[in-house]
Amino acid sequence: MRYFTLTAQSDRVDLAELPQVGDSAVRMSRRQALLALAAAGGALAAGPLLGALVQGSDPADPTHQGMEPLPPRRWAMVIDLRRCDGCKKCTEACQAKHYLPPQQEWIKVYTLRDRTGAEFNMPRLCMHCEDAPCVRVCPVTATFVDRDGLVLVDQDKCIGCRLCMAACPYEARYFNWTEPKTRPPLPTKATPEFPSPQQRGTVGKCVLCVHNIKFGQLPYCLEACTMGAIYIGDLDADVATNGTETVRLSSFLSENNAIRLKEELNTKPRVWYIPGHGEDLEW
Amino acid sequence: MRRNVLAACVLSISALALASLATPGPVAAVDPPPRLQFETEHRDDGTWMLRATLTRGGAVQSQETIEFLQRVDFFGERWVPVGTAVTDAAGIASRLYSPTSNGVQQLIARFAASDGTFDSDPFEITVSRAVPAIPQEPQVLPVVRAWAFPVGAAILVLVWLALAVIFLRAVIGVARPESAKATAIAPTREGPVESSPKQTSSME
Amino acid sequence: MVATAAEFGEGAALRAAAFRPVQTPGRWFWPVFAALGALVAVAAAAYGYQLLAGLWVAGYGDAAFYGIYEANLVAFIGVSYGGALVSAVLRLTNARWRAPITRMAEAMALVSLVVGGSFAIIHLGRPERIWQLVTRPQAASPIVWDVIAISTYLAATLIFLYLPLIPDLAIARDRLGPSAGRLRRAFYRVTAVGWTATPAQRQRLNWSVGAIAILIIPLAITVHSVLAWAFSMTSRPGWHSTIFGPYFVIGALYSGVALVIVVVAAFRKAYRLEPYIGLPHFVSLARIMAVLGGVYLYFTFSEMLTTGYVRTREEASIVAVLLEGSFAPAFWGFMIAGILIPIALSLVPATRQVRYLVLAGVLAVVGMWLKRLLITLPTATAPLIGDVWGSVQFTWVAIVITLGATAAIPLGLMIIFRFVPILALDEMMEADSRELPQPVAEQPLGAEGVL
Repeated sequence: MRYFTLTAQSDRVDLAELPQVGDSAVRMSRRQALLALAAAGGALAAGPLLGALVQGSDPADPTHQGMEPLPPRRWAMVIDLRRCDGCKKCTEACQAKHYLPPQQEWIKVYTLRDRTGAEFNMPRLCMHCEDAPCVRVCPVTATFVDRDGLVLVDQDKCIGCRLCMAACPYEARYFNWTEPKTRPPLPTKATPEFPSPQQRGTVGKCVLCVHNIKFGQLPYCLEACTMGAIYIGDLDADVATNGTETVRLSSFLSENNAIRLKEELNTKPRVWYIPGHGEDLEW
Repeated sequence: MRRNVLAACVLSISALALASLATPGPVAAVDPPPRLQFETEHRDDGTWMLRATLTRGGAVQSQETIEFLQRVDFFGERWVPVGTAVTDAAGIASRLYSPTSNGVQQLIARFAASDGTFDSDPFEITVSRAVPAIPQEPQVLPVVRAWAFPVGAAILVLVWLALAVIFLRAVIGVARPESAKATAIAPTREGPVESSPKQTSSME
Repeated sequence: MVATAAEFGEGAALRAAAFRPVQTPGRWFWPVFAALGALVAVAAAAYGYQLLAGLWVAGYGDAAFYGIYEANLVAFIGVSYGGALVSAVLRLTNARWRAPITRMAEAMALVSLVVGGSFAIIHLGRPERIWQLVTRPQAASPIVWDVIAISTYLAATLIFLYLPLIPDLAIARDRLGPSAGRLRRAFYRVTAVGWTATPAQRQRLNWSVGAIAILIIPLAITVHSVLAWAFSMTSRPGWHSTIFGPYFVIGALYSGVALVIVVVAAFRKAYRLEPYIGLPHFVSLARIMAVLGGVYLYFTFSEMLTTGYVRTREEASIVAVLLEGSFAPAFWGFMIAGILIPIALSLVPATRQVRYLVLAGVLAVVGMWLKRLLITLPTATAPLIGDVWGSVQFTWVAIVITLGATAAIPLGLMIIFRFVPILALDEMMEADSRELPQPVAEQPLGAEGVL
C-alpha cells in the first residue's frame, strides 16, 4: 500500500521530491527546512487519509475509484446447503467490511426446520431479482438496476417510505431506523455500490459486493465461507466458482436439483439453493 | 583368465547399472508419457465436436476418461469442465460442446492418469453462434406495460382539465358584470345579521 | 319534518345561527381552542424529536416496518369520505334534508384530508426529500399514484367546498356590516366574486356544483383505492388481496359518515343549532352508516373466509393470529363494538336518540381506526422466512402524534367556522323556496327531538 502517493491526477507528489534537509544541491534557510519538515509531516498525515479516499491502485479499497470496471456479467449466486454449517462467518464478514449496524444482516443465516424435523441452515441474501418487485414500487427511483443487472439503493435519493421493504418477498431489505453508530474509520463518500456509512432514514441491503466483483474480486461472504458453500457465477458465461472449485453453472444447478426461493412469485431471483441440510460438512 | 571374466562381468553389470541410471525411468516398468492430441470440428448447428486422441508411446489408449475444459477469465484464470468422454478403440474421446457465449475460447483436454495429470495443448475456437444455457426469461405483460402510462396520463390530464373548467366556469361566470346586473329573483333579505341574543333565545 | 327556514321564523334567525361561530362563538371557544392547540403543538414537538432521533422512537423496527402511522394515514383520509358522501352523493340523490349539515361535512372532509395526508410525510424516514416525487417520480409506484390522487382529490374538495360557499360569502359580505374588520370585509368581498344571486349566476354556479359533485365521486373512490393498492400491490400475505380497493372505500365511507354524525352533534351542541339539525338528520345518517357497516362486515367475512378456507401457509398464519391468536381480542372487539353495536344502535327503535346515535358514531370511528391497525400490524410483523414474528411497540411519540392529529380536526373546523357560516344558508333557503320531499322521521322537531 502506497500511503504517500496522492491521486493518479496531475498533482502527484512524491515524498522524494520534497527538498531534503541534507541535500547539497539545495541551499535552505532554517525556515525553509522547517517548512519542508512540516510539508513532509503533512504529507505523512494526509497520505493515509487522502490515500484511503482516492486510492485507485489498491484492489483492497472497496471504492475502487479511478479503476476501470470489467465488462458486465449476468451474475448469479449458488448456495450449497449441503455444506452450510450455520457458522455465520459470512454475516460477520459482510457486516464488518461494510460497517453495518449489528441488526442489519445483509446475508442472514436462518436455522430452519424442514417437514421431517431435520434442521438446516440457510443463508439468505438479496436475490437481485431480474424482475424485482422492490424496484417497481420505489416512488423516487432510489432503488435501481445497475449495468450488471444488480439491484442497488441510492441512499442520497431514498425518502424512507419502506414500500420496497413491503414488496420484497425475501425480507432482504433493512432500514436505518436510527443514526448508524458503525462507520468506516476514514471518511468515505458513500455510493450505491458501497453505501458506507449508511444513512439514517434510508434502506440498505446486500449489494452482491458489486464494488468487488466489478473489479475481479470475490464477494466478502464467499471469501469468508470456510465450507465453500457460497458460489458466484455468470449466467451467460455458464460458470461458477466458490473461490476454489470451478463448475459449469448449468450442469451444477441441474445435477444438484437447485431451486430458487419462492419461484412461484415470478421475481426471477438470481440466487439458487442446492437443497440439503449440511450433509457434506466434510469438504 | 578367471580374473578377466570376473572383471568383464563386473564391468558389464556396472555398465548396465550405469545405463539403467542414465536412462530416464525404469526401462521395463515405466510407461512413456501420454500424449493428447486435440482437435475440434465445427458443426452446422453452431455446436462443436471435440475430439481428443490419447496415445502413450505411440500406442492408442482406449477405455480411458478424458476431461474437456474451457478456459474462462472469472475472478482469475479458471478452467471450467465442459464434460468427459471415454476413449474408444482408436483412442479417440469425443464430446459435443454447445458454447454458451460468443468470442474466442480456449479449450484443452485433460487426462488424469495414475502417474499424473496431462493436458493437451490449448486449442482456440471462435464462437459466433452461442446458445445461452440459462437464457433470460421474457418480460411479462409487455403490451399492458407499453400502454399503461400513456392511458393513465391521458385520464389524469382530462381530470385536471375538467376540474379547471368547472372552477373557472363558475368563478368567471359569477364574477362577470353582465351576469351580476340582471334582476334577482329571490326576495330581498331584510335586515343585517345580528348577534343579539334576544333573536336566538326565542329559538331554544 | 325537515327544518326549513320558514318553519322557524324569518331568515334573520337562520342567519344569526349560521354566523354564530363567526361572531359570538361562546365562552367555551378559547379554552377549548387553547387545549386543542396545545395538543397539536406537543405533537409537533414530538415530530421534531422524531426527525432528529430517527423513526425508531415511533416504535418501528425491521420486523415491524409499518405500523401506527400507516394505519393513521388510511384512517384519517378515510374519515374524510363522510364529506364526499353527505355532500356529493346525497346532493345527486336529491336528499334535501342534508342541507343543514353539508357545510360541516365538507369542511370536515377538507380538514381530515389535510391531516391524513400529513401522515404520508410523518411516516417517511427522509421527509426533506419529498420534492423528489416531482423531480424523479416513478410512474409505476403506488406512492406516486397516491400523491397524484390525493392532491387531485384535495383540489376537488376545495372546489367543492368553495363553490357552494360563494352565496354564503356574499351574504356575509352584505350583512356583516361595520362590525367586521377591514381585512375580513375584503376577504368576503374577494371570495364572493361579485355574487348577487342573479339567475345567470345561479345557473352557472349550479352547473359547476353539479359537475364537481359528479366528478368527486370517482375521484374519491380512486383515492382510497390507490391507498389500498399501496398495500395490496405487494405479495405480503394479508395485504395481497383483490378486495382491498373496494374494502378500503367502504371502510372509509363507513367511518366518514360516523365522524359526520359525531362532528355535527358536537358543533350543533356547541353553537346551539338544534332548531335546524334534529333527530331525523341523525337517524338518516345513522341508517346510511348502518348499511355501509353491513357492507364492510360482508367484505371482512369474504376476506377471512377465502384466506382461511384455502389456508396457504403464509395467509393462514395471518388469519390465525387475527381470529384466534394475539390480535384476536382486538379483532373481535372491533367486530362487536365497532360494527355490530353501531349497526344495532342505528336501527333499533329503542335507541333512536341523538345520544345513542352519537355513541354509535364514536364507536364506529374508533373501531375503524383499530381495524386499520389490524390490517397493518399482523402483516408487517409476520415472518416471510422462518417463524419469528416481529413485536409491536406503541411509544409516546407515536401516541402523542396520533392524538395531536385527532385534535387537529376539531381545531381546524373551529378555525374554519370563524370565517365561514356553519350552515349552508343559501342552500337551506333555496330548499325552503321549493317543494321538498320530506325525509322519514317519526318524531316532529320540538322539545322531544332536541338533545
